[in-house]
Amino acid sequence: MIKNYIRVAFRNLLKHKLFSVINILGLSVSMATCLLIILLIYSQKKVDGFHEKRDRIVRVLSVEEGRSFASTPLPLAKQLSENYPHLVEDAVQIKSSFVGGDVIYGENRIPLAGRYADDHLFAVFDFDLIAGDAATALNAPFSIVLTKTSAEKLFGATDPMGKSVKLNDIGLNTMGIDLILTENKETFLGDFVVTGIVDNSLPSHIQFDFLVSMSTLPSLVKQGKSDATFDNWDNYFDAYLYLLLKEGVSEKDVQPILDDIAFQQYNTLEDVAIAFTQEGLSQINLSKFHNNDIGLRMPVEVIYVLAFLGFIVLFSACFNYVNLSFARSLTRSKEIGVRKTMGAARYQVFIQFIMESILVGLLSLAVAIGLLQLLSRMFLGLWMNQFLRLDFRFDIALFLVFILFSILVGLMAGVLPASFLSSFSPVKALRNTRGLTLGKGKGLHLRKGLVVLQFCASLLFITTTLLIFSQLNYLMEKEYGFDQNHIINLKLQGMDYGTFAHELSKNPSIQGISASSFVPGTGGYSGDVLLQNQFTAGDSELASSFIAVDQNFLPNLKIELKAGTNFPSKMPMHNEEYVVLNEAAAKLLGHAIPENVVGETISIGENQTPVKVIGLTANFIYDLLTEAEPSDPLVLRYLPNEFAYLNIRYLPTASTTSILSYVEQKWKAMDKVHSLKYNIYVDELKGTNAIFSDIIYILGFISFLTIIISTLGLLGIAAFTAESKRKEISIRKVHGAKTKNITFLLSKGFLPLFIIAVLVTVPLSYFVNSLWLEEFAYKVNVSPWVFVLGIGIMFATGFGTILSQTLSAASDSLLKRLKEE
Amino acid sequence: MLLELKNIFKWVNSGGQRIFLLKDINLSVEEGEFISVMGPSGSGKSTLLNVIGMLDQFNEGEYYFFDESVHNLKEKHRSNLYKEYIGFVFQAYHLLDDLTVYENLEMPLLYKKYKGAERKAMVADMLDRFNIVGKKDLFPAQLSGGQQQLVGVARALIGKPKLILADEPTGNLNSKQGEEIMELFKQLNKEGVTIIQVTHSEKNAEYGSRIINLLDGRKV
Repeated sequence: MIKNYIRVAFRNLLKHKLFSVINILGLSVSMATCLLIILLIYSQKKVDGFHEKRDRIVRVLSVEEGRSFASTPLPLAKQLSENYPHLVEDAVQIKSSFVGGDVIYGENRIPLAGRYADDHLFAVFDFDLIAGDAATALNAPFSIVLTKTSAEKLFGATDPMGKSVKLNDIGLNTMGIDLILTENKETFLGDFVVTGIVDNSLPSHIQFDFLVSMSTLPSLVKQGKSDATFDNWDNYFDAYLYLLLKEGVSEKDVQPILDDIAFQQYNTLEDVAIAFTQEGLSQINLSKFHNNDIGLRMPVEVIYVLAFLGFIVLFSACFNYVNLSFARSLTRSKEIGVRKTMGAARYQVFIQFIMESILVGLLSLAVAIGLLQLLSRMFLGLWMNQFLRLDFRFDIALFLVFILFSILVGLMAGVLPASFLSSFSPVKALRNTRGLTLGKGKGLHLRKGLVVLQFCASLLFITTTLLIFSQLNYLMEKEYGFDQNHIINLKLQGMDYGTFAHELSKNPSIQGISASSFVPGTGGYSGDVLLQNQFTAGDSELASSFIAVDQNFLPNLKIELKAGTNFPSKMPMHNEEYVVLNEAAAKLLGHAIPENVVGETISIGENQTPVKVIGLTANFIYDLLTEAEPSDPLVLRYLPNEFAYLNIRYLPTASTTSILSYVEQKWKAMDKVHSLKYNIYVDELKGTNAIFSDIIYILGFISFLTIIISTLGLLGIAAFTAESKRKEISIRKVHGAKTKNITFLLSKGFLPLFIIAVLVTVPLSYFVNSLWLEEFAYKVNVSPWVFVLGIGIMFATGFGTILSQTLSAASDSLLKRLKEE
Repeated sequence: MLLELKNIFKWVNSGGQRIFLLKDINLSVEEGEFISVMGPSGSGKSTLLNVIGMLDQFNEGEYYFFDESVHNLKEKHRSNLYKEYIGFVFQAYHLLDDLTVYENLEMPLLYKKYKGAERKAMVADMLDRFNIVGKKDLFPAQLSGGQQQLVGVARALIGKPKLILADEPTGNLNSKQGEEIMELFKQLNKEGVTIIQVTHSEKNAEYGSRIINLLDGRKV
């Protein structure tokens, strides 16, 4: 029976090639996007799958004011493992702050990022320890466990076990990204003994280049090299806590204890209200966004958004299938009639049509898997994916999931047509061998509705993509309020800036050199500082961001000075005397006319240090453009200890490469250890908007797909309308209708659908897009031209398709048609 | 008695008027009969055939088939009844274009849950009996009208029905082909199959043992 169904289905697909191609093409491109999302989820699910006790491992989370943090207070581990041994078999803590730095062995000095970890780490997790003893590797203070890769880098062919390495903390984190607060100072942590080598090539959410025993911390604290506190319950940013629960104990059993502890610790405190929750190990990598997470990952919210987009495209393709199947009920009605008279029950006909759609789904899967190769390569090229560990290899389980998915898609697409087609009464289906007339009944309403929905989705996607594109363009063109052209920013990495600046200034092409604690507009941040003057004496909460700059900074970046003067060229190295404010900060201090702030003495910081305001700058954008507000206050302070970057301005006539090679040469001469780290300012600012290009890339692709799919659908429907009306066309032509009359007659039915879609989508798109645009202080207006352009694109593609079909039908030779009747 | 119709009425409402398709039809058919239903176009011949074949409903009256009261049966039981006992032959043959001769013959058996081997034997038997073994892999479009109708009759017979309902089986055939089909019916009737045919042709009606004339939905 099933063999018979499949045979008939195949013959049908071959016979109606246009429809088969439309269906398979539409379904396969949309399925490919869904497969990509499945692949994404699957690869994320695989993370941490190698830990044998994974079902019993949970991570404890802190929640404050509805915001969840992946980190917990340091004392929590001890409390749990000592007092509740009947529930908690083991507890492992990994300290959250970074021991990032240079690991030195002999002449070899390599920047690596590591973590402090409890001695039980290898008992709970199954990281593959290829050398060393799992039970003792992280026991003793000043033990270090290297990963296989870092060991090879550092030691080459030498056996690292038992060797001593030096560790220099320069504030490098595990992602290899600069810390937001740039630690410019190096801290020599001490000599460490290599006690283990671990192969961490299996995907885990815990990433590290090396691990240092947690027992090292107390001695570092004693030496003043760390501020970790093992009894401070208020600081819940400090450590990640993993519990190994006893066999048979569930998260539910532990939760009351966590609640109790939170109550005991925080009940009496007024301004701290922390609660603890848990998360199973297998969920960690796919869970919702947490603050202060242990590493970068794709939060489940992103996957939801992608899945939503994927489903829209998929639904659109399914609509095509439904639409075309309904339209084709015409040609299938005789078959249904005959089968039913020969004794087929409704469910049998139903199954036959469902089988057909599943077959189409499976065929589409084959095409989709091919497309997936292309698509996944494109996806991996996205900016955001450089931070993720994506493993897109295939395996049998994944393949089964794909097949299951395609069957599901087949069912989804086929269930409506199948139930409609199988409902035909045999007498009616046979009596009218030209079929049930197209254009009557519930089928038609449904079809029209689906066409409208497709129009809506396309229009929404087109307008949204256009708006995001113009917003990105706007941000790219936006004036920051300083001149970023012909500037190279380099990271000092501990270099003495005075000496180096002096070296650089010997090059005549270098116009100016300044120093700052972060580079404005690139997401850097030096901290907030409290402000007070006579107007705001009662208000102790006024705070402003600050940036540490030298006296060359303002002229070098060509920041407009509104009033007063710049820092004098001779400044004391230590006691802070002067500050420069921006206009927003002046307003914050209660000056309606910002210029009046100049000359005033204000107090800044916790210690209320009195300083004199000597200058006022215009409001320039110092935060990320996407985050910045025009009213963000800023204090420019002269704090040489905080300088972390050099801003080198060179002549527009000089070539960037020659300047760079000069700088590099000087750098190498002065710092034998660190490699030069620099950014060309213009490119760096553009790079801060990289997430936008990802979004445009994704949305553009999705809108392209929805348009393609809905165009295909229209093509099918138009072809069928023309087909089903060929008798009418012939009769009209016999009576003198011209091609253009008939074309108009056939096409006009789509116009109301188009208009309905426009009427529905324009307000919807306006609303949706205003929603996200609200998040930006600097934003474009939702211009009517966006909608005009979007509607234009839709109109052109839609009616181009329809006309191609109706024109050919209208110009067909007429007698041939009539004879066939 | 194979079947009995008692006071069958069938009507449709059109523009506030009730138009009768069948009016007070009484008919009893014994096993082994060969009945020809005659009448002008629109007299209700095909409707009567569809009612007898249980493909169409009627509005009033009683219908007994092997003493089962069809008018009281649920849709599912009705379809089981006709599936088992009735074979249909159509004027336009109504073979499925996408299936070969073999597959067309096999199709009704699929819905009767015969096993694969049984189906094979039954189809082979039928191909043999109608001398169309050589054509089993052809598609309907590759056959002449007469051959197609031969397949149509073979398909109607394959489920070993008690009753064959034929709606103008020779309507689309030339006279020679038509004669052959009618001879075939005669032969089948001799073998014990009850046949009810709708026809326009006096000559074809002669093959039957009884003629029923219809006019405006009424027996005359």
